[in-house]
Amino acid sequence: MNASDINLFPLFLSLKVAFTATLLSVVIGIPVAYFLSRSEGRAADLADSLLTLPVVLPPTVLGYYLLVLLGRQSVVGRFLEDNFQVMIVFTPAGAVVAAMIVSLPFLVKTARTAFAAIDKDLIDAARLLGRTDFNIFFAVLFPLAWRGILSGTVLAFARALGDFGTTLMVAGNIPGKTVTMPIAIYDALLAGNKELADLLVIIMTVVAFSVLFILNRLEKNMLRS
Amino acid sequence: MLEVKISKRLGNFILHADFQAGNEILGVLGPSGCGKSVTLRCIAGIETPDDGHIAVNARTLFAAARRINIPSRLRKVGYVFQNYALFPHLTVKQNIAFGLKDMAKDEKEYRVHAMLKTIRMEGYAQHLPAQLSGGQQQRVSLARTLITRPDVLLLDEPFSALDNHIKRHLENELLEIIRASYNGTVLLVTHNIEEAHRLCDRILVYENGKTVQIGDKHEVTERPATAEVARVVGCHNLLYANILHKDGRLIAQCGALSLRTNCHSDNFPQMIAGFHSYHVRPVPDKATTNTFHCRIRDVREGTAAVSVTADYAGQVICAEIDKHRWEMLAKQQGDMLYLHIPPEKIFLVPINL
Repeated sequence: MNASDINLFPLFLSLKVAFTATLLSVVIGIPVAYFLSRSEGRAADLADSLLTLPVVLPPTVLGYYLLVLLGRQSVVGRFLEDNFQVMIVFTPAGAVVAAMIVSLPFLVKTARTAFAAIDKDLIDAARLLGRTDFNIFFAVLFPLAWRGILSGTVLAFARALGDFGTTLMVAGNIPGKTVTMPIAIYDALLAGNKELADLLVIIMTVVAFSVLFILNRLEKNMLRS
Repeated sequence: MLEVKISKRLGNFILHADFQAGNEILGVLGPSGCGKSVTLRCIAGIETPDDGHIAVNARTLFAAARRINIPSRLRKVGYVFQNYALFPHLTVKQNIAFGLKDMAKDEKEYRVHAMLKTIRMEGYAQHLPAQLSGGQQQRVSLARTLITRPDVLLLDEPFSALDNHIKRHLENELLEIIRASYNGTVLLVTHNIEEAHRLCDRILVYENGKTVQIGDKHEVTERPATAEVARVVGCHNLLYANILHKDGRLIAQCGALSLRTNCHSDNFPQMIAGFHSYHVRPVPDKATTNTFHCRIRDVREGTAAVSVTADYAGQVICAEIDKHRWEMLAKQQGDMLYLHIPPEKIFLVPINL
């Protein structure tokens, strides 16, 4: 087997999907984590449980929900297709949505804890010194919680990179279009191509390890400064 | 001028705060959990009362009837938190400038430097709060608030987080800074009567979530309105008494202990007679009225004074006696001691309200 025979598309797709999903998780997760950290009612606990569900549910269940919710027959799916010509199911976009859903809880949980750890007196003090809540978020809350947010982001990325089941259910297994690294490995095994599977597993491990190692180093350096 | 008349349900009890304060330092006193801090938080807008109104210099901050509830950031209320609540990620200078966000840069710079000078911390501008001592943190917290020129200044147990031996020194410093750069209303919450006495002009006392007495600090300490106020201002001698009349004055008959008072009229046949332990004087003999030959039960030596618990026919009297005087008298009198309770120092309060 030559090196040129190896199709590296799944690797790049995996990385692209993981980065995009993490970015979306951060954009959605931080405000959600903030609101959850500031509310104590039953509604907040309910929302938190719902958000954490993807960690516990089997990927098939999660994938099924997403198919029902975003499929071409669903209200959301049809709306997106009719108005934006966007299809989620069986496209790379579907892989992104799937990876985001499974990685979001890790970010929200960690960021919520980081926000909740901030002394409420600091927020009151900032208000009494004339600052608006919007301003306080960027002047006080984010600077104090960003370490937690960063750890959460690394965790979310790791989870997004490694997703298999949900992605398979939602994005399918279309070569050159939606086959991510974990799915390519599964395919290689099914096809009895042990050599390819070995190689892909090694590449995946090395890449995942390197990315996590670099992120951890970055995190540590940022913490030190 | 601060006007507060609010009520708020808090679990089992209801907070009723009703008082006014001028340009003074008003000590807010009461046992912990009596609603002192909640009152402060209501004035600051951190918590919302159920009913009533709050006004500062005729500006309404809260009025339940008119549905007015000005947000904290517009109240112009200065608050020094118990743990100072300095922003840990900002330097001393940035902390002090935090409330001057929309000010021109030159003006801001000038004011911050002037404030750093006032609190004598010019050399600490670039330090982080974690690098400061408790006293320094307190000064920065105070400066951060004073620089915004608030209409009211609220101090929530400002010394509770500090070591005892530096408290006194810091009290003076705090007073100096406040007097030098502030002339509005100051509320100082404390549960320490000594602290309130040293720092404040007038004292407001809470009892079960209710403001029960406000007045000059000497008036409140010497003539507490209720038994609970008496306890809060540090009175250890509170005795059940039958009230008898003699020569236009009242006599408090506490068991075998017959106390002449300077009180004229009170309408209850039974009351509580109280007197501070530091007013009880040891005397060589039974020459004066209200002098009792007591048996000494317990002696606790403090640094400057001796706390004596004595017993007269079953009535317990606590006395705070100067150490030198004690050493002189104890040698002469053995385990018995003549104690004099000055009639003008005895107050009478109702048994129950």
